[in-house]
Amino acid sequence: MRRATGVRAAVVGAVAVLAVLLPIVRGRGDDSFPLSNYPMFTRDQPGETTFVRALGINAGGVEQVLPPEVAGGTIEVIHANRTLRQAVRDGRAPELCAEVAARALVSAPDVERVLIVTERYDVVAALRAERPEPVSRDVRAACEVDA
Amino acid sequence: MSRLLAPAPAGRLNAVRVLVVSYALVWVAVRAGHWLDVARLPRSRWQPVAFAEWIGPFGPATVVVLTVATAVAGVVAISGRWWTTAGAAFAIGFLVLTTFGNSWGTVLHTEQLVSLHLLVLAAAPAGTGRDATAGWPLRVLSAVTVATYFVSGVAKLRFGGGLDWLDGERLARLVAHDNVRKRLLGDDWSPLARHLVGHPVLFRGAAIATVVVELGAPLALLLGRRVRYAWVAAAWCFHVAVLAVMAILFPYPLTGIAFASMLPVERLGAGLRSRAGAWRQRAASARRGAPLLPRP
Repeated sequence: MRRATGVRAAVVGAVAVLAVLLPIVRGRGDDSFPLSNYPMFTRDQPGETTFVRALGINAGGVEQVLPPEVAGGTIEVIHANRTLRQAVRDGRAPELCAEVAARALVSAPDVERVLIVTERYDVVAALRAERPEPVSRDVRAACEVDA
Repeated sequence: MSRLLAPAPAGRLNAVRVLVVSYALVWVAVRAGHWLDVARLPRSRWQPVAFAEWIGPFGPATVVVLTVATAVAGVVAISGRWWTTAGAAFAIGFLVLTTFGNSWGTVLHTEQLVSLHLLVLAAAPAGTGRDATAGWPLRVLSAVTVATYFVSGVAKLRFGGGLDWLDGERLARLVAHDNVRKRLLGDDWSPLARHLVGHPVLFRGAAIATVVVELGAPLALLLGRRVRYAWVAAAWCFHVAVLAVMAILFPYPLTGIAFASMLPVERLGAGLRSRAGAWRQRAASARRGAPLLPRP
């Protein structure tokens, strides 16, 4: 009985710990789940960084950041942002803009126009500022929210 | 081997099992909305991790069925009855749902450890009856916990520029970048970080402390109880600092449940039972019309 318990403990322990340690040898971009190489907090972010945002413009011309449910179709902010960046990188900004506008029609009724923009910020200055201002801005796609 | 198999205080494994499964059950309830959201995304956004490639993206109906089935298995698993089946079903259901949720382009690092702990627990006895003093599952759970921190520490040096990561400059830019991104996207961010980014010495200290805690994690297994408790306290403080400075919530370690296998959590159960007993005794006395306080 004790021998069987010993074998079980040794096998479960060895498999579990080795499995967790194995991702140590994987590359940075080779993260997975649930066995991770935990690459978070290791990226060397430049002082100036480009962010992609989905903005809504109302009848008065006021800009607002669209919430992740509208911008990326999920409540997860990081996830929604990844979707925006990927779309811009793949040249699908107009397609994404139409998708966002369709969701805005339902979830953000005051929005009349959607912009997909890439903006460059000095991250330290932007964090310390009362109102962060971009160093530069490019509009990648613009589309109307049609009823 | 004898160290691995040495008995643990009675009730500790049972208490750890109840805590971890309860936490995971609440997590299933909290994340169900997100899993439903991603199930409605276009298939072009599917980027499977691990075994997700073989199970494919689920539709919303499958997500609902899986979530309900996993939750039912979790409720049974908390009770400890039919543990071999219920524990395994819950661990597998949780793993499938979280793997599915992480297969849309972003791997979140808040679900790994609980998923691994559930799998280890599923391979162990429930910790009740004659297994009340089983110690090996607790040691394996602790080893898995410290291994994840160790891997994370190695990653800082491997991917973060070697010893340069310790000068704190990368960390300061990372904190600034993360908070600005959240601020621009309308997410919760840390106003505290705004006041800290101008003080590089703080980030140098934080970078060194982080690597010491992560690479020093195995000492919590190898040295005595005091070192173990000190490491748990340090790791918990690390997560508090991450929450305060980056507004990133790691609920599993912050609730302390991630470290439960390293702590005398069986006393929680004993304390609750003794309070419940006293309360029952008082209620019975009140029903009989007896005085609630002892006579002098």
